[in-house]
Amino acid sequence: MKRPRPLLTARRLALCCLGFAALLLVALAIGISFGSGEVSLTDLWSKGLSERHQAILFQIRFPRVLVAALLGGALSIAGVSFQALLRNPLADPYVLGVSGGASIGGVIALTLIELPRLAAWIPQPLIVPLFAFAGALGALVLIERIATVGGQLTVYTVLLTGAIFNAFSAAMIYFIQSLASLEELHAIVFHLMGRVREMEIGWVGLLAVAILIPATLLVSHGRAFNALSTGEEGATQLGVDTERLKRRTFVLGALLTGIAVSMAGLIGFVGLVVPHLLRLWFGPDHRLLLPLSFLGGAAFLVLADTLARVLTAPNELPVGVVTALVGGPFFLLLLRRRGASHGF
Amino acid sequence: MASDGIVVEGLGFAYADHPTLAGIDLTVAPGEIVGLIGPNGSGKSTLIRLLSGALNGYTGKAIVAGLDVATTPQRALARAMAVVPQEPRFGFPFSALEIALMGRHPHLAGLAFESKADITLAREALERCGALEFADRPIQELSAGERQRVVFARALTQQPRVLLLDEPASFLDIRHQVELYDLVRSQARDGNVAVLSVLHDLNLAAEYCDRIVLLSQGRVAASGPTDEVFSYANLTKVFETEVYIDTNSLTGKLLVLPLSGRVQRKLRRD
Amino acid sequence: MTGQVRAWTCIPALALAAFTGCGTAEPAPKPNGTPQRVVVFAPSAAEALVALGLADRVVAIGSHGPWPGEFAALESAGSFDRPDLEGILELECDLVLTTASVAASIGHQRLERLGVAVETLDTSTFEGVFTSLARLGVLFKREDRAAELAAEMRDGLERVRVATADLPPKKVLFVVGRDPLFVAGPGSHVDELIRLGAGINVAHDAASPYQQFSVEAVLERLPEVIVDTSGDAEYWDRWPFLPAVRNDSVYRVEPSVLVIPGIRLPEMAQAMAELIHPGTFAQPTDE
Repeated sequence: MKRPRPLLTARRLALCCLGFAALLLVALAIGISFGSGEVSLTDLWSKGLSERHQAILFQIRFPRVLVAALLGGALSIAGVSFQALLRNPLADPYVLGVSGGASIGGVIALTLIELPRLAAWIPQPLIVPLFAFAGALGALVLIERIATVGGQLTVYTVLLTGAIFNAFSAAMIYFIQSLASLEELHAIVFHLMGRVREMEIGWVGLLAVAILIPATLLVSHGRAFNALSTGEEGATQLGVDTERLKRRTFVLGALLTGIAVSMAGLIGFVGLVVPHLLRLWFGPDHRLLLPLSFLGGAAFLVLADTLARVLTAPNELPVGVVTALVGGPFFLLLLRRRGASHGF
Repeated sequence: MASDGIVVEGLGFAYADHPTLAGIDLTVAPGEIVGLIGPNGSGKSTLIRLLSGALNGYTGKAIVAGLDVATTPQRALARAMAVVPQEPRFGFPFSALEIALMGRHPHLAGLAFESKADITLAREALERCGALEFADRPIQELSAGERQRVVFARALTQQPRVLLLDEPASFLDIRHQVELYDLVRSQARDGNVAVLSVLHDLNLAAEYCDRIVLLSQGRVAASGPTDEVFSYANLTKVFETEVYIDTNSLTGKLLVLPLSGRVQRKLRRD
Repeated sequence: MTGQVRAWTCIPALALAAFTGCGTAEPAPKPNGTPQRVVVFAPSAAEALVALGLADRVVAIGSHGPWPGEFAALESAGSFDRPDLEGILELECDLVLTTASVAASIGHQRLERLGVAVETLDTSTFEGVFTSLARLGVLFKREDRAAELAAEMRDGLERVRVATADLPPKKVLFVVGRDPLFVAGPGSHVDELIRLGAGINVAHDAASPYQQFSVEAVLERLPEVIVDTSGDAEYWDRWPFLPAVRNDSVYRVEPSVLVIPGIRLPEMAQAMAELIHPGTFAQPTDE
């Protein structure tokens, strides 16, 4: 007989969060220490660093692992939120169709990217993310409008609309691909595969704000999500403003997903595997699950990105490939071992 | 002014042009148990959902524990009123204790955690519902009847002044049915709680309900003390079937038995 | 209403049947005589045909250019991985010159069954360029002219090799794409051009001829020359410690100049050598 899971207290929450924060720090340290350059974190203290090694550590690796952490956290917490919203542990951040919009936006940007006029207005590294994010927002608004019937956000309709939107965007992308040049095609395929891009540290700060604010808001709804698990009516009867909760969750989760897909293409599994594992190990209380999934997802993507950079160095794998190759089998294994006993 | 209990006047509701309820008047005083009886589709569950705030858009007046259901924020309603739904569903494997504790949600501010007092309350509620033994087990592992008892414990944890029950004993065996309704009665009497309960079991209603509201096709067909409402005329008309009514010599309450086709044919021949 | 729907679905079904069913079961016929109406999907093959004096035989080109000026006005026959089969048949072509493509292989089989010869040419390496040239010579019965051209090309390449033979090799990075960084690796003709120009490819351990590469590795290896065809050569200015940046040896180059191998290999080799070791060629060599 397993020892029963203890009730969540503020103390337990704080301890777990600290533990996971430490885990994230370790992951960041690992991420900074490894790469195709010959420099590691310990070199910071041991001897003077050459210019190029400084550049590698601080201008390439450091921003990159931060971005990976932020994106991993964003996808993970969006995953948990959508799972709570849909009352289904198999939902992932892409299920609501926002990723379809972001993909279309990003792909369109990649075909237009050579336009000199465009480069005059928007700095080159921002073109794809901006277009993709516009696509994500467009999808968000469209889906929300369609799924709101009589002032109520019908979760079932959201799901369906999202599925249709994703299918539509896939078709659009095929269409665009069929007209694209070879170089554009290459860029499109790699963008969609999911990779963590290098950014200057200033932009990383902006990204951090854009991600941490929605994430914090989501975390604050932990107890309401717990109530939501008994159904929308059940939650209402427990005093939750269910309409507002649904709408907020949808918007915040979609924003986070939109940002992640805009920056990095479609990185799979983070939003599904991490929440699922954490729920298996730490229980379904969302007050714990939300912050832990952010920290855990962050650590996961940092490590996956490190693998992507190191496995075939100096060549690089798209990180989406690593998350799938690692996440998939691991997840299947875990499901097999525990699936029967909890029956959900 | 009735500052507690349930007061409903002229309530009407239609599901997308399909009229479900019309002209409903009913009151439940604190300490009373009122049974909501009627055939399938007569609007009983709808009425419960409207009163609890889970469903919106009714016409007329509905006051619960002195709060206007249409205008009061959901949280305030939930502090005063608890609902035991018909078929509780759970998406995630919370333990019975965690489910019961959710009853404290309307009483907890923003990010606050449950206090020791809250936990004790939940445990006591589980105990009174005979569910303490599976406090730590995931809700999905429990049988339908056990789950119903946990949900009832959650309602008690809410410390409501009004209790709305939608067939709370439908999955319970006779022992647990009686235990549950004994608990309902003690809550009503000792806690001065107003209870409105949907029931299918007419004998259970006869035993426990002080008054009955009989619904038929969305309207109140009869309302009043149990003995009056459970008349042969009322029941056969509303349920469109033959019944046999007698007095239970042991308890002094009414005994209502539906008659099978075979017996009905036999009676007609005689 | 149902009848209408059924009629609509019949039409494409019939068209498909007509298209595939018409073919006979003969094996691919070899071009008898020489091909007169040619569709070209590979720009390098087009250049070769011009050099062989066969430009007038080309009736359609593919969508992925750039194409020699003579062909700019020709119709498009789709892309190499999705050829416009109907268009090709309509133009009554007897030869399709293309690069290998798995996606198009079914289309190629259909064409061959319908009497159109399909020739796949691999021009991604030096070796491939010469082989393709010889093959074209055979196909069009211009073996002599082809051999002449090949000899001229080899001479040109040899001249470059001699000119750079004693020069100290420099570390070179050839950028094909940015964000993510794509470079030319071993097995690409660019790699051979670099070596011919007395250079060392910094991406010598890339996994494929055109490979996503880590910026870190580039910084680690400190290239002395960067040839950037991605259009964003200014990017390298942010790493001022790179020898290529310090010595002003970052060159922004149009892709068409160096990326499409063909009969212009000697000119490309010379251009590359000039970039790596400026001043090697005081004037352009005779052709």
